[in-house]
Amino acid sequence: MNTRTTREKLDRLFPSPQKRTPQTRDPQTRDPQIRNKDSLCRLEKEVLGSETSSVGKLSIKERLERLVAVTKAHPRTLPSPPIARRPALELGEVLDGEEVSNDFGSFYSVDRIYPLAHFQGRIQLARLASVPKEAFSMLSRGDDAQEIDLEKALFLDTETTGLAGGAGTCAFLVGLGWVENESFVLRQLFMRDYVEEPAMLHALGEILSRFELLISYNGKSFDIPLLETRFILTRQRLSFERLLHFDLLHPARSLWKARIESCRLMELEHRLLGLEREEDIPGHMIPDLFFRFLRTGDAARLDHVFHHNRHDILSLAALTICASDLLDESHVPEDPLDDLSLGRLFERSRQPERSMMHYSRAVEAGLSGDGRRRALIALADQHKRRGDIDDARKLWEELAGGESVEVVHALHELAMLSEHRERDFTEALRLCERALSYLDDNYELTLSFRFKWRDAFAHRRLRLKKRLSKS
Amino acid sequence: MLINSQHTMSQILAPADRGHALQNVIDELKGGARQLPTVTALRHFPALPAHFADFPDELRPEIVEALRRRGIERLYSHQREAFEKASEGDNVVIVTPTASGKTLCYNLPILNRVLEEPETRALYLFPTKALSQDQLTEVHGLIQDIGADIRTFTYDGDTPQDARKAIRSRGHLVVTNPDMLHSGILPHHPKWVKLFENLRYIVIDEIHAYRGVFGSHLANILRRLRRICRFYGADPQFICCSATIANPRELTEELIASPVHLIDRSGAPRGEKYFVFYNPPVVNQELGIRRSYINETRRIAGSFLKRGLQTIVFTTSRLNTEILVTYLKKEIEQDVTRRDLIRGYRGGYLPKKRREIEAGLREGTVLGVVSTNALELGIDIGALDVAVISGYPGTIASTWQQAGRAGRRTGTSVAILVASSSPLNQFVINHPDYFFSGSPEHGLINPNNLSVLVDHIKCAAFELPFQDGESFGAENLPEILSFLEEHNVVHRSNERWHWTSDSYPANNVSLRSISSDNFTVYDETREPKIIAEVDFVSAHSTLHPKAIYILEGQQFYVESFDYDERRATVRQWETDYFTDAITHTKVNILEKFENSTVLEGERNHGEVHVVSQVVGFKKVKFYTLENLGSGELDMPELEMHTTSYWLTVPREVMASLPASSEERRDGVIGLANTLKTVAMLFLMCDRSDIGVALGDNSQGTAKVERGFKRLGPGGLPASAPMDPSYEPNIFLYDNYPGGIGFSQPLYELHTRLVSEAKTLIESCPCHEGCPSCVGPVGEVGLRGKVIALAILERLAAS
Repeated sequence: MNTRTTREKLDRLFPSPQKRTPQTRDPQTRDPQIRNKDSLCRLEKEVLGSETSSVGKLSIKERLERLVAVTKAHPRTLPSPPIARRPALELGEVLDGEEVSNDFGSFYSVDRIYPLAHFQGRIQLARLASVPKEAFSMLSRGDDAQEIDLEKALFLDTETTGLAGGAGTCAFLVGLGWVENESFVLRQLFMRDYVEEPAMLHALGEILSRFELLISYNGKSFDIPLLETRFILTRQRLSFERLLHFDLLHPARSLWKARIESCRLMELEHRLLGLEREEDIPGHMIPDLFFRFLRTGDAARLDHVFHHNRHDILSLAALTICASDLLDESHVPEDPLDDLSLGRLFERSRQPERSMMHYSRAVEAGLSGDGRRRALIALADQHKRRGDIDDARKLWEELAGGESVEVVHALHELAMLSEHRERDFTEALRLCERALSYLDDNYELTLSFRFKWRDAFAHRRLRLKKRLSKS
Repeated sequence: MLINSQHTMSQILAPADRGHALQNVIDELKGGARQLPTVTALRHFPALPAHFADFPDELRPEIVEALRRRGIERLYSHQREAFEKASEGDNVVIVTPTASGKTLCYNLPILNRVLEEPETRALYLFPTKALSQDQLTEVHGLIQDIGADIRTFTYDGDTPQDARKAIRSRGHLVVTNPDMLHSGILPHHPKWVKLFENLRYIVIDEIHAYRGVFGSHLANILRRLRRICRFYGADPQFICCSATIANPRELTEELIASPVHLIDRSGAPRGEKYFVFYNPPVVNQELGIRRSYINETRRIAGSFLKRGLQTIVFTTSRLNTEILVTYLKKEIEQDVTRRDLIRGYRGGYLPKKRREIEAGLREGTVLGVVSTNALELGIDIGALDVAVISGYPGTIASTWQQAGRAGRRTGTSVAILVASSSPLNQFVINHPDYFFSGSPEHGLINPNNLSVLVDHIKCAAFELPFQDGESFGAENLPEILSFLEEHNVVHRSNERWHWTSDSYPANNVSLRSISSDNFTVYDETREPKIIAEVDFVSAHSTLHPKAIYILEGQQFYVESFDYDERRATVRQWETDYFTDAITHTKVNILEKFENSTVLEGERNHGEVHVVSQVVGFKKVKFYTLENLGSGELDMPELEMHTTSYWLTVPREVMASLPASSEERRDGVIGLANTLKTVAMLFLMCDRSDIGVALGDNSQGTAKVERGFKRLGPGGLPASAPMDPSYEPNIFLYDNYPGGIGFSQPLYELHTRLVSEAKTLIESCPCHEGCPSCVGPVGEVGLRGKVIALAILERLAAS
């Protein structure tokens, strides 16, 4: 009946995309996140082998569509795209690794040995030795990590074929770092094709078995679940549960979020280590470079991916040192906001003394504005809990004369104090009125905040009036 | 008046008093039926006794004990049959009416197995989240009575992130929906190792809901599911349930790609039931306008409610639901003691509110409920006295489902269908035999639709690499994979095809609409915000520049339509008109699969190329429907390869008609409109599932405006007079790329198609054509109806 082949039907169903007149767009308004547009364009031109100049303005989806269109225009039967201006490179020309074999086949492995004297930005790797054993459990609030020797710790970061996760995302490059014989060993396991994945994972399993602690950046929700999936799919069962896992992302957020909004590794590295990556490959292009190598064998720019991965691991090690530095009581951070964050950290891990020390130090170091108010509120709260009501009152009174949400919190505390402890209802009522008029007049407070507190104070006012009328 | 409504009582009657009240209603109806043309049918279905069977020996004592505590001493015969077949390892589909205890059909064999082998896992699929919740409550209750440690969870978009991990490893019974299976479970199957390694049962309830595009997707999701099961060494069996459709076994076998044992003899008893067809009276004979069916529904439902009879009203839209709730609340809840006697129920209500309404219906604290088809599916609301169906729900199967909401296992119930003036409604209401003795619709799917198939092959490649030699669906898999490799989506190495894209393919496949490539609508009246999403195809006709876009009664003026960004910018605007897009559709025949001559007409089906383009729009005044002018547009063309049925009217037939060439064309247009209506009836599909177009067989193509509307002054030029060799083709094509399987059935149904079209036009009381038959006079001219009928005389047996 219908005699057409599947192929003919496919060509009919998915005709080549029609050319559309490109829309004029203001390049400045698009994608403000891309800092260095020119270099990105250049890079992308090389990857895609196309002459277009507007690439930097397109969305990732459009770029992918273009990628499809371009490769379609140059069939795979040709050894390399004819318009590519640089010759295809063999893997050995860009990387100095070696092929490694095991029972599961072979894969490619690259080793770099760094002396501990190596500086990653302003941090020397030698200081890894002085990271205290208990740093991990303190930073992760006893979550997972216990006291552990750094020699038993393995730094891990993967490069993957996508960020979406799921069974179709694969870690093609696994970077590992550890301290051994007075140096920092950085080993990168690379599958040159999917055939090599089982062997690469097997080798990874062997290395993992020598360590007790994994250190990663966002590994808990990304790298490790992904690797677990890969082990299952290659029918190798390896349990990561034996290993302790310290994911620096979470402590990094509690330590630095107050002053570094995006806690991306690169941002921390820039701000804390003083590093500026040059010629770094944007993360979203990494899968495409690997796919191109897979299809054409052209290894050009693959070295950038390896470099990027090594860089991530070294920075991970250096930032681990930065984080543990902050735990040292005698170490005074450069930015008083760090003391505020430390105050929080210790408050949550139920170390009130230590927490108050940091809050006070933050205030003394001249922290101003929002940070200062937050430190004062926290400090007052601690005083209250310890029963040092007078100390607390002093701070609340200071805050109540200030601005922003802390005024409301402070007035609330003071009103409670007056009403319940001192039974001075008139004063409590005065504080309520003050809070209500503050809520009415300050439109910069969020609406929900104002509603919530208006209700609370109005309720209190009503109660106080009743009490006053009775007495 | 259908029913006297002097009653003012509206407290809920005690069950014992209901029989009497209902009998009064029925007597009045019977009286009315003899006098009034508005009652077109009144059918009586006598009560049926129950058929019981003993508990099977293999059923574990703790389950038997739990059932006994619930007052169940024996099973219905179909429940026992399902238990036995499932225990033997067969795939089963159970087709029984509403409230026949079908959930025990799958819960008993599965719980029994879990008690014997605690590692056993089962996956329950329901078409909606609401049904999943309902089922969860039900099975929880039974498990509690059994007193066993059997863990049951729903896993859907509402499941909290921190609960998901535990569900993945610990849940014995996981209740979910096809969308979640497709995008949340299958792509992450390694996280579900425990489930997939031990998966013994897959339950698919409401399987009749999976027809057309949705069903074609589900069939492919199940292909992916079974592929993953094979990877983990599991081979689950299927237990499915369906409402009454014409081909439950065939549909199930196509969905699960395995033979199925059909159980369609219900052992449940059935109470006596009356079914009434009511057609609102004509108020304007010329224009064929009838009294508003919404008002008629209100009146009829109100009269039942006032007698204290528990009543459910089904509407065809959310808007109508709200309107009727408002009307009925006003009428019934006249004082505080009667508050909340009338409730509304539709998608969009919060789950808590829904549970409350369901419980109120079961316990009898809610007297009346107005619902969309949300309550049609198997949510437990007990059984009510009366079901008023306001507007034909579109299929025989749905109508029976809705009618089944009234009727206890013993006692009498009434169902009333109130027809709207749409052609479909008018056909059904005037042809009760079509409904009562005709077979219900076929559930049709096409799991090998190439565009659906390719989408799921991508998802499958993402989930597990394809091996050489593997197959997936009926098409040539290596060719599809090579095609995908050319597009850099997969990569072949060492006899395996690996996913090589950094995307997540399941996110780009939408199961319930035609394309996931939607347009967003930005309202820039104040702060710009997104107010709606419109699917790719309809965006062309509803969001073109200068269109009036209407959302929940609010009008918006479309300022710009950005094709590349897939967005339209609109501004609130009060106008007295709406816009109607003018679409040119061209159909080219690519290949005829079959054709033959029936009487004087020629039927065909085959592959076609459809190109449509919105070329202009008309401004139409609200209420008066005056044409206020028009404009030209240059919108991008929409192209599609699909399958089509078409009817050719030979030029000899055309030439012999006593009419001018304009009138002949009008007749063909009227015929096309009618054929589409009848086709929708047979195919159990939505209006948008079938496209209709006209062509000239002498040229092999078709080019017409949508709806074939004549253009008013200032509009686009009307077509040139036709030459005498004009030989019309009327195309009814599958409105989905690659076709969804309607064309061949339509070809087979040709004889019935033309004869029912003839009956529909003949029995319509209008003079010159109306929206209920060939279309309004403005569209088909003064003689369109006559000519259409004259053509049909030659094509259909009398």
